[in-house]
Amino acid sequence: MDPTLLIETLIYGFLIGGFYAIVAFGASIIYGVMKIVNFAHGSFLVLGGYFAVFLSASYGLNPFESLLPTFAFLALIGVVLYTCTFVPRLMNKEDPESSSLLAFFGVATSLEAALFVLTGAGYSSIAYTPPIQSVTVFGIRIAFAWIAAFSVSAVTAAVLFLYLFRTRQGLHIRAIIDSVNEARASGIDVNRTSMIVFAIGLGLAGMGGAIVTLYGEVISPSISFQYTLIAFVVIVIGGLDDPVGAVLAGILVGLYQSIYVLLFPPELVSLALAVLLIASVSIRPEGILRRRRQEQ
Amino acid sequence: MRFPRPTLLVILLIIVIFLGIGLIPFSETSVLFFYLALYIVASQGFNLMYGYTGYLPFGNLGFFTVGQYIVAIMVVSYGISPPASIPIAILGAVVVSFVLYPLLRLHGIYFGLASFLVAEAIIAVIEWLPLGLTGGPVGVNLLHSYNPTFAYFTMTSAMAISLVTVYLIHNSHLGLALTALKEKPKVAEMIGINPTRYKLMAWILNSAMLGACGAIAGWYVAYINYDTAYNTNLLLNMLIFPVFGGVGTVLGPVVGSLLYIPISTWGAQYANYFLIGFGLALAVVVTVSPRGLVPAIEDVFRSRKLLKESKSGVNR
Repeated sequence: MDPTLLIETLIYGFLIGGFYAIVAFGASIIYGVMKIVNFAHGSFLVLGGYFAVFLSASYGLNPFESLLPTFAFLALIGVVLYTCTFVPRLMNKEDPESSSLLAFFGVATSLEAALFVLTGAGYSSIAYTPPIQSVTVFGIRIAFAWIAAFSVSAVTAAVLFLYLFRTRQGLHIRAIIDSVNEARASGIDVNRTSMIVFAIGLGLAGMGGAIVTLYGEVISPSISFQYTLIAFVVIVIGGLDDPVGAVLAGILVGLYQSIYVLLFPPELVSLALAVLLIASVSIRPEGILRRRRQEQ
Repeated sequence: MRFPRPTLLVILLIIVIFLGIGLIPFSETSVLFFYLALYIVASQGFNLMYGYTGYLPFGNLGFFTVGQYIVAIMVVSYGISPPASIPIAILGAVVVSFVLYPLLRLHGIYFGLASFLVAEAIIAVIEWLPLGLTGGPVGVNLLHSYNPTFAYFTMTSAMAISLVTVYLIHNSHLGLALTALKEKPKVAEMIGINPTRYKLMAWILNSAMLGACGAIAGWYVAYINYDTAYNTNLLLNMLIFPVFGGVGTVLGPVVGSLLYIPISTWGAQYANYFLIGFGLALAVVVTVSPRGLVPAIEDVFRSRKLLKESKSGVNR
């Protein structure tokens, strides 16, 4: 095989993995803190994508400029959903995981249908011409959009890690992930932290949508499932409630996917993901970083 | 904990009504009842897993897909008649469930997500198979063996078999063991209930039911393509009906299907507007009444009975 092709594949896999990591990070903290399986994650991502398209059409913002507004918009939706709807009640169920998986599957269906109605099933994208088309390093050409998307993801990941490991709220989040009851007993406001986490999680999903427009890819309600699946493959491999594991697993999945598509029929990529998922939970059920945790 | 006798009577009544409907000529009503029977079977499969073992079979649609395409391949490539290929389809679904046996080692949400991904993988594999075998996106046509009346009665028999099976399981050692494993897994294991064995039994029965649904549905409409075998509406209905009606009981999924299929059939004309409401309804029902309608009604009766007993001073 042509070594350049292999290196190019690895680079692209790594770059898209960074994007997966950001999307999965949101799903991971939501699960970790709230034990809610946000099966509408991909739908919120698509909603974010449409918002970025809207910003571009109405205010002429390019995908970079729309990143933060999209994050804010989806975070606001997260706060509204948390304060006004059933979301907090799901957390207190005896089996919050299965219930929330079903409930958010319902939300995903609704949201997807609503987007179909609102957008007329339209495929939208932003016609954005980056300042340079591509960068060539050692004879390997990399599209500028991909580098830009990865840089955005990397900066976001850095900010999130600072937030998670260097702020008081981050400490609260980590404490709740480790043990809700102990966190509550030591005076952490679980309810408020959950709301913040839900907002950040949805915000990150929405920002993922804006990043999709940055790639120049089309946004359509029908792509939402595929991103939900990616997010969950990534966080299951990362260990479900481990945001650091999610970031690593995101890059791993990006690499795996691009190598797979290079070697095997691309139609079977979901089979490959299923195999990866099952293998991973059989070998390392606690996640790739294998943080042993005691049963409660 | 014996389940009251009336359940058996209701089951018999349902079977008789469905058989009666089969005698009227092919019409909108008989189509509606065909799909009622289909979703009752599919819901019972879901019920066996989620209601009795607590495992959310999010990927059940995969078995349906397998059933459909085995019929398609058997009829078109091997010239076997649809009724004869239904047992093969069921067997095929069971074989797939055996292959997926390691999934049962996963817990809770891991199982739900992994089984869903497997279902996606199954349709991906089918889309990848050579066009000569599956007919590609155009699909295969079974019109030469089109026989809606025969297919209707086959579906009704499948419904009868699945209802009686779940009824028997509910009242047997197996049902008790499954409930014990769901409620108190560690205690159940300690008193000698082998979790994997019982879960495997529920899983196999579930796959057989879904495989039968797929096979018979393909025969009934005499047309199979990627979309009839795998679409979001099917998945949504398969989850919604048993959850609305209530899992962990024999009649819950039946009530769910009977109540919501007419609604869902009626709503189909409003397409996406209807889906907005239906999806939200699923979310609300799961949150407000996670156990569904039938268990909620049972609770009312049980508490009234207890109240009466306590008033009349009966010692329990």
